Amino acid sequence: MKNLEPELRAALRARAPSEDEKTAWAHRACDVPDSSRRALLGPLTWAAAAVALLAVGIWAWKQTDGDVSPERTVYAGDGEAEGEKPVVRQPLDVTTTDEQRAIHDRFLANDKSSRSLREGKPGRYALLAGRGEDLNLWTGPDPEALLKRCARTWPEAPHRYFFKIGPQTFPSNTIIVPTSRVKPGIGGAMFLQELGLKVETTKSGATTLRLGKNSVTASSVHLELMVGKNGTKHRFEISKSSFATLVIPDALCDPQFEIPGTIILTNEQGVWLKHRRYFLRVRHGGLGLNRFVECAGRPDAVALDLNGYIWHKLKRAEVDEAKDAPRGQLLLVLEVPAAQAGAARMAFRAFKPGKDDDGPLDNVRHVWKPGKQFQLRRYTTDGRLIAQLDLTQVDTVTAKIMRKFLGPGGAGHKRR
Amino acid sequence: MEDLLRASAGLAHAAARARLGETLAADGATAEALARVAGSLEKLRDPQAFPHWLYRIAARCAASHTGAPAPLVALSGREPDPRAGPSAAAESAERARQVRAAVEALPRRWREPVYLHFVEGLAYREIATVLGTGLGTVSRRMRRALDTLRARLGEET
Repeated sequence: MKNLEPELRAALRARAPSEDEKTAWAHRACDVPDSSRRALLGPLTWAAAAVALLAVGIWAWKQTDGDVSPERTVYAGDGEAEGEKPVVRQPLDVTTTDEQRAIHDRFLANDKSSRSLREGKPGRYALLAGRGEDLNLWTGPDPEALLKRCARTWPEAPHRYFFKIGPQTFPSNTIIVPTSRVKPGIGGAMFLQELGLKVETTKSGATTLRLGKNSVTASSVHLELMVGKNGTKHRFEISKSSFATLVIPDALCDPQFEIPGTIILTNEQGVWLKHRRYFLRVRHGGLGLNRFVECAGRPDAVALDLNGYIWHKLKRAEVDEAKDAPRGQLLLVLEVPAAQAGAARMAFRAFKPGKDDDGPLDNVRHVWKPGKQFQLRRYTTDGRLIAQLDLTQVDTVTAKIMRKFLGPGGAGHKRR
Repeated sequence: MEDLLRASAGLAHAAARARLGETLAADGATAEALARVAGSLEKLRDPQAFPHWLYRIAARCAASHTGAPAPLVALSGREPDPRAGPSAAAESAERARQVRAAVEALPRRWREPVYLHFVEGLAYREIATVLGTGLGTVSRRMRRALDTLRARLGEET
């Protein structure tokens, strides 16, 4: 070990905070008002966050006195290169009669229809709340009335998103407060991006929200809200357990093996939030333990670490056509060409969001047979499908490998 | 103030990292520490004591984060270089991971000067000031840390 010190320096500095991160921390530390600092530092509960948001929203609404600008500026997400200028979108158009359809379009259907929520009438608020597929969307000019209505219908709503639609009541930003039990990471990033925020992931995997000119990066995602005509800043700390985490099956494949696949992200209740098309290339590292996934031809687009987390750069992702997917925590569909299937080795593992991420495959139903369509599904113990692996065809070698990794099929396994 | 905090952010992060590892919680603790420093800087009487004072605050913030949920582990730290071959990149990343894991396995009192020296580039005397210990102590801890790392990493290679 002659070169330990340079190696040590390089390895440790690779994970050191960047200058941008330092600047963001310093800026935030200096800019936090005394009254907000305590809230920032202290453990802010969900209830406190919701109440604080409501107060700010009502206050801001009163401040504007109905004076709204004709357009709303948001930062677009999908398909945009980093650093692009914000995109000015037209006011959102959601009427009360379209509530159910809008929420379905936005959260349960494909990406195209999700745009419907972005076309709207000026000066309206939307409150999204509910459970699972019973999510409801209420819109109206009075946020307080919306909250009351939500409280009547969903007194214990696990999901409650409150956001402003339509032209800006606030100077430059939109308030979004997710209060559900989801985690930071790509899922939260995708969701927030879907709601019109520019979201980036840093090299350390932290989610960065970019609200207007303000960049926020932290383990705890700090939602920086700018409200009021004078641009008064209010900051809230939302626990990092508030954003969804995209979990990905632990994949192990042969070198140079490319897999076109689709990631389908759902929230904890199984509501389809997003799906994305990409190409995975799984390579086996030289040390026997290292493997990673990258987008074919786009090495910075997708990476998979040893623990099975995927880091997916949203801007490079392609959005696939909607597929008929069952409810589940995560559905990963890998389509393996038959010609390459012989070289494929996969260990498929799906995790549940939450603390039990590393739990074993407790209930796997699978079937494989050479030359046949292949489908692997993972079910919860109560029979709910939470993950699925599709292969177009499986040859003998692959079938053997599957048995090796996943065990033989057994009672209750279904042929496709 | 902001410049001071920006310049001190690395120090605070080193303190948090020494306690929390390469976690997002370390980032959060750093941000929290800087906010505390900004709010109570006027209470600092001796400017010379600022590094040690800041380090202590960051260490306390990190200690309060120990109960936080398990962090997401960063994937590769750096995006892969498309010019390098995938095997080379994988080996390099794997080696760096081993080095970092070996450092994290060190006792905290040895790990702290390692971070301060190799990440923040502090001299031993500066490290002694930050940690509030003697120069001899820092030197001894560094020597033991490096000896341990050489032994561990040498065995793995």
